[in-house]
Amino acid sequence: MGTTPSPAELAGLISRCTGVAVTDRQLADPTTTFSDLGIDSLGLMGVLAELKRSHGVHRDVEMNTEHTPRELLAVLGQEVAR
Amino acid sequence: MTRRVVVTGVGVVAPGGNGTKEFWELLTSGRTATRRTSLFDPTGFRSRVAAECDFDPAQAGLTPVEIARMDRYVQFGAVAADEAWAQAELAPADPWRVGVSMGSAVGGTTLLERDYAVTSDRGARWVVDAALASPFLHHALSPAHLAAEVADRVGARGPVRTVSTGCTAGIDAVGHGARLIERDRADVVVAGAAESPVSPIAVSCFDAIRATTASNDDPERAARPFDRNRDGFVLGEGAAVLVLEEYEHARRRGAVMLAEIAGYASRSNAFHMTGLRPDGVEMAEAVRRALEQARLDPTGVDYVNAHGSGTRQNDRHETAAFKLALGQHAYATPVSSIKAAVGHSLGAIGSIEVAACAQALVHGVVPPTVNLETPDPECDLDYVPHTARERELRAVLSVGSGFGGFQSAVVLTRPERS
Amino acid sequence: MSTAVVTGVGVIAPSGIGADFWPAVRDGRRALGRLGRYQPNPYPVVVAGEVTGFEPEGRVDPRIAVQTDRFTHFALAATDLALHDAALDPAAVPDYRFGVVTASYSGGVEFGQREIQALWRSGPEHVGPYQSIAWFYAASSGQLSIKHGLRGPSTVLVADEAGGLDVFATARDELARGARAMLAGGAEAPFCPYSMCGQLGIGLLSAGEDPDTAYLPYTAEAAGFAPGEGGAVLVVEDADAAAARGAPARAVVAGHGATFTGIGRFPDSAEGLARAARQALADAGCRPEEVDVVFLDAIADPRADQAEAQALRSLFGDRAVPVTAPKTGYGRCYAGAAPLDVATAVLAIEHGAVPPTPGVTGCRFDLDLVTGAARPLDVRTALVLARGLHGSNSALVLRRPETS
Repeated sequence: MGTTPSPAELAGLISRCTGVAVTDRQLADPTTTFSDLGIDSLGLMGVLAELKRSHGVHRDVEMNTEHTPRELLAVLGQEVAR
Repeated sequence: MTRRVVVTGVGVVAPGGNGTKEFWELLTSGRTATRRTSLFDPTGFRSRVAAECDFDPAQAGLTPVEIARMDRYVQFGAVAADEAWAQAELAPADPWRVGVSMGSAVGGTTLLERDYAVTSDRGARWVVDAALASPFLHHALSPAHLAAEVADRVGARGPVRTVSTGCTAGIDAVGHGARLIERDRADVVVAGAAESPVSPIAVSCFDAIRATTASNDDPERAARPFDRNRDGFVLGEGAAVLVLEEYEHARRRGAVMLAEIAGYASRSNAFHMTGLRPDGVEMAEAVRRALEQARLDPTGVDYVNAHGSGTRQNDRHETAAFKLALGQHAYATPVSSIKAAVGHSLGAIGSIEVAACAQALVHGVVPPTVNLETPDPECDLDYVPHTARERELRAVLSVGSGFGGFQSAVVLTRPERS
Repeated sequence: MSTAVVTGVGVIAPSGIGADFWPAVRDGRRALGRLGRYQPNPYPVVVAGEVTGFEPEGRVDPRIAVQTDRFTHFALAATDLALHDAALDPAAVPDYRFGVVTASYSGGVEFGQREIQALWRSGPEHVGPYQSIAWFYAASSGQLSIKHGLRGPSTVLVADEAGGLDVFATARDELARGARAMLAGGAEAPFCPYSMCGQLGIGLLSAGEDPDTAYLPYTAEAAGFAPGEGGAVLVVEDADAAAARGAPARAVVAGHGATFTGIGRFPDSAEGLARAARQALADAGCRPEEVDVVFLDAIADPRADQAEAQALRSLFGDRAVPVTAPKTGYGRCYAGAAPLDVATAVLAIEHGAVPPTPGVTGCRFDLDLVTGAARPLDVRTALVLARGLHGSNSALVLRRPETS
């Protein structure tokens, strides 16, 4: 189930879950972490939970706020590939 | 003139034992009361372990009318209050000088959820069907119901308050109760807390943030405070109620004084609703202020009853706080958490821990931290693993930490000290 | 002992937000209307006071807005107004000396209903991470302390309207113990279907369908109160600390008293209220003869109203003391109600006017109830009364600061 969200869709999902306005350009930056964007651990948990529910991301996927949205995008790509 | 506050009655409803005696036996035995969740079917939940009370309200003395009216946590509180009040043997005091101070973090969760499932047709409709609601649902909206029921049981007509500071509510309710006496608003205050959060909504909200354990395969050892392999708390339930009394009032009537509430303080970390900074400075500040009120030097603390929830963050946080507040003495002081045995009952646990501290003072015994197998280099104090320890206790400290950033500390001493 | 003074007032009410509130209550403008927060509305409560036009956008940081219920949005917004009004920068208060005490009646019920619906409709993994911090009663105190860096004593009291008065006693107590400033108040957002389903069981909400006649305490038509949403947060400071920074003291939080007479036992609340008021007056060091105005609880239940009238008689005897219940204009806001009354009392002291009890004529008790228009009055001492639906009675005395 689920489809890989595009960077723009992921940006929208993050904004909706965390209240932080994020652009797809920010998501592509390899150095910007979730923490840099002002997303805390609870916010990130909400994002991951939504991706697991609606986009078929495996339930064991874990990330912390020092990861980058770009890493999350990479995970999403792999998830669909496997 | 300072009005001193002593404890003249204790009542407990806890996992593994109803009544203070059974509760204390469990704590000092090294056993745990955590098990696979049985109050609802936990299949599909991340955490499926709980510390549940084997509680029969009728057997505990409640009437059918009371049982119908009271949510589970109120039943716990009422029964614990009855035990405490009976122990205090307070013959008709002036009711306007008797107060109540009760705590709860989430209040009527059990009834709220049961009625929600029915009135919403299991979530099918937003505009719920009021015709299907219990006539007592309004009590479940507000934990003030707990304090009101306790007040009526003991005939209190003085100040009656409900403190709802999340997981420090149990300590804060005792602290606020003591202040009512210190400030001459009452001579007697029935103070404590109750909680019954073992229901799908509370379990799922802690699942969502991974605060509770996922060690479902070994329920009795799921809560592991200060252990290197700890992975979250075990949700618990229960209640504890103390009768607090002004020292002279108790002395004049020849009451048995179990302990003195010598100091209390609360501070906020102003950091994060659930997260804790590793340095523990705000908890240390609360401890310092509580010791200051107790006129106690840090070296006077003989035992620390820790919050010890068994989450990665908490145990490190408060270990740091104890070192800040007690200095080198922290290394020489036994520190233990009873949460491996009775779980973390949110708002109730603070009062349950104060009740444990009162028993520790009376018996000269430090209850152990059960399930502490593998030391954590970041938690390097004396956590009294496995086995209770006899020790001369004159002053004990109990602390709590709660969602919302609340950090609270209370100091209990032997009342003969003056 | 330190003196506690009000230096800032922040109001989010159906009658108005911030500075719009006083002119609306002074002129007795009605802000009750047909409840519109959920549709359809099959319940026998259709008249309510809603803070129409209040949206978190522009008032609450979007990151915080998604993780909090409307009752916390109100508290956050009211606090911003209060701090601005007090011209107080929290960072200027010594560390650990600024705390917060809020009252709540039913917590984050709308947020909670959304999440519990997700749980029961879709399963446990559909409950979001914010349910654990949005729903509980402590959400507002926690968020306020974080937002403003308040590391002092922080607490939460739950006792419906009485709890909203008790927070001022707790703030004063903390100032006496060394705090320099406290945020004190509370707000309520009780309008979601499941919460209303619970409130119906109280049996005291008005079923009236006409906003002009649904909430008429002290009259023969009294048939329950119209519920309201909103509340107020006040900055309460140590008088010396306020003076040192040149902040005017707007009112002194002078005395408090509290008793308990049981759930629904309204006849007993007459003595309970009178005793609470006497305690509060004694605490303030003032005599009943000095009270210039009383802000009433106004449950609009015949027994409850009568008990309140009896309490006033017992306190004041034959003396006609102006009394008022501005909340008939915007609804009874549970834990937000008393903070709104305290805010109104502060404004009445400042403006030298007692706002009216909108809509009420034909008081059936021997009370000097201010109706129609505001009454000009030199208010030096105000008494605020409140009862909690779970049986508590509270009283607070506010006094005009001595001008030196």
